[in-house]
Amino acid sequence: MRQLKIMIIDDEKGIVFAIEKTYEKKGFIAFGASDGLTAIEVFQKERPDIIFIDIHMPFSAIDGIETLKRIKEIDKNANCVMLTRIYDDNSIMQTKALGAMHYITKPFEIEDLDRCIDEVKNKGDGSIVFRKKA
Amino acid sequence: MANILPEDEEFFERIEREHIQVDPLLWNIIYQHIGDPVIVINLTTRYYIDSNEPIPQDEAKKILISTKRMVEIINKIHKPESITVDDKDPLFRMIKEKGLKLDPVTDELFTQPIRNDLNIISMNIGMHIYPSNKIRSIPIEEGIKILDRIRAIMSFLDRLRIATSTKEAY
Repeated sequence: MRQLKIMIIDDEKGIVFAIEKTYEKKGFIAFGASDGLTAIEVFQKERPDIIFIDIHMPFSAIDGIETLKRIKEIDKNANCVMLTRIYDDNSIMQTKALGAMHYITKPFEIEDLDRCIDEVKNKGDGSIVFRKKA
Repeated sequence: MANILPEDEEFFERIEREHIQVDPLLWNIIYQHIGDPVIVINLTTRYYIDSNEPIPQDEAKKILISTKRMVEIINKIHKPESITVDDKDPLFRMIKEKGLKLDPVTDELFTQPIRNDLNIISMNIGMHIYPSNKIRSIPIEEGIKILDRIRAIMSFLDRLRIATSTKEAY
C-alpha cells in the first residue's frame, strides 16, 4: 500500500506552495512545479496519481495544454485536471480531446480538488491509501 | 463586501440590461494579479484555521504584501492613465496602448468594494503583527474574518466575470 501522490502545476508559486502544504497536512504526498518543462521532468520521476495543471501560464516556457499533451505522451492513463481562469469552450474541447479528466474554473476551493482526488481514489486498484499523519 | 449590497444588485442588473462587457485582456489581468493571489490567501488562511492555529507572522506578512500589491493593481485598472509605458507587465502596457478601461458601471462595482476589503485586511493584519504587539501572529478569530472577506471577493469576482465576459470565453 502506498500514499497517493498529488502534483500541482501553476506558474503562481504561491498556489503551488499552498496546495503542497495543504495536502501534505492531509496526509498525501504533494509536490509541484511552476513551469511546464520542469513539471514534465518531475512527472517522469515521480509518476503522481493525479496532476492539477493550470492552463494559462504566461511565465512558463510551455502552457498548460502543451504540458498536458506531453504528460499524456509519456503516460496516456495519467489523471490530469485542468485549472483555468476563463471558462473557454475551445480550451475545454482541446483538453478533453487530450484526455483531461476534469476542468476547474478559478477561483477554486480546496473541496473542488478533493472531489477529483476522491474520484481517482475510488477508481484505483486498491493499492493507494489515504494516510493521515500521526 | 461580505454580503452583496442592494446597490450592488442594481449594478448587476444594469450590467445585464445594458449588456456591459469587460475586455478579456482586462479579465486576464484581474485573474493573474488578483484572482491568483486571492486563491493563495484563501488556501493559506484555511490551512491555519482548519488546524486551529493562529496565522504566523511570516505568513501574515506575505498576505499583507499581497493585499497591498492587489490594491496597486486595482488602482492601475481604475486609472489606466497612471500606467507607465515601461511597466514591467506586458499586459499593462497593452492596456495602456489600447486605451482599455472598465465601463463606469463595472468600475464602480469592482474598484471600491474590493479595494476596501483589501485595505481592511491589510489594516487588521498590520495591527496584529506591527510594531509593538508581542504576539505577532493573527489570532484564529481574525483569520476567520480574513477568510470571510477573501471568500466574498472570490464569489464576487466569479459573479462579475460571468456577468461581464463575452459569450465565447467567460
